[in-house]
Amino acid sequence: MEEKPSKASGESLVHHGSEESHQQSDIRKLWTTATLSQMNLNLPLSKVEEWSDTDGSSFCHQKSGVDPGDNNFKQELDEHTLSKLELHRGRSLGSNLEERESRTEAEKSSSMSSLSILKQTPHRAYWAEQQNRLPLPLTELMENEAVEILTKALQSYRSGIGKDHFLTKQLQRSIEGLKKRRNKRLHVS
Amino acid sequence: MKLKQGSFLWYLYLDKIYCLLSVRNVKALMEYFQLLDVHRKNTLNDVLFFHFLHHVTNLNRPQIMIIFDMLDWNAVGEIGFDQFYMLVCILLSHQNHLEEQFIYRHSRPVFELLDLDGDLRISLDDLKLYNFLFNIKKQELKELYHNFDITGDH
Repeated sequence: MEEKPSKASGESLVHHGSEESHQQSDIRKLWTTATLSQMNLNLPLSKVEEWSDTDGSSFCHQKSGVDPGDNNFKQELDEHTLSKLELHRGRSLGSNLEERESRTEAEKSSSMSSLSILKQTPHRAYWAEQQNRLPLPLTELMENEAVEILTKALQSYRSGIGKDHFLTKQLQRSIEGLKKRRNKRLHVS
Repeated sequence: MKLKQGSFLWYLYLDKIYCLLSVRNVKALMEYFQLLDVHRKNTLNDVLFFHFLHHVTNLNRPQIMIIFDMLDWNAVGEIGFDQFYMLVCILLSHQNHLEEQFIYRHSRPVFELLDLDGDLRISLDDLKLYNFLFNIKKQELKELYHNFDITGDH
């Protein structure tokens, strides 16, 4: 007789613990997604908490695989756990209709904001490439100038060491390569 | 000495305080250097160096060869990117009338360049030889030596 309540409390503790850890991990995950999906990070804290709360409830249900309208889920938990959950979830465990609405709204808002981010900010690799690359007019100027300098140098090479010298040939090849590259770019544009 | 307007070097920006190029500018300069380095040795020989400097400045052949000898201090007959970068900074500081600032900021490398025989002394003749590069007036040179030559051996 005496063992039962202790067992029950033990069960509730286990339930409570596992649920809390679930929720903690949920909240942590959603906190990151919530901050990622926000365009303006200087939002007041209350607003951020509100968002994470609504998201938290939806994520919890998705993970447990139970429909928000299913009452079996609630029956499995004892009163103590439920009251704790009530505290955590706040108003999200109110009417099922409200919950569904809030969930779809949260999903919508998060997907919308992430889409808008995707549209507005370029991919990181693309951005890095843009930062590292020289502007095209400058590249063209550089190559044109190099071709002019190297052509003059080629004449000096020919008169100095002869046109059959391997250095002369090497220089000629690099000039041709530069010219080819320039023509390719001209044809593309 | 003047840089050719519209040449690649003309578009580089030299920091007015430190008399150095930004990392992006150095990267661009390195690409330019690699285009000129046709023999893939990370150096420019005297012929390539002459045509490069003749193309981008109004310097004559003797002046260009004096600069080449100054940069090629270990007499290998070629100059690497380090020397090339320094030369470009000197050219840009000359173009922007920042020669004094350049010498002030990079006094040691400039001293090492001008000290041709490596005896840790720069003679008046050495400085006269390079005054076209640093735009030092004859009168200023004389005053400088008069003020600093405390041993009296010039």
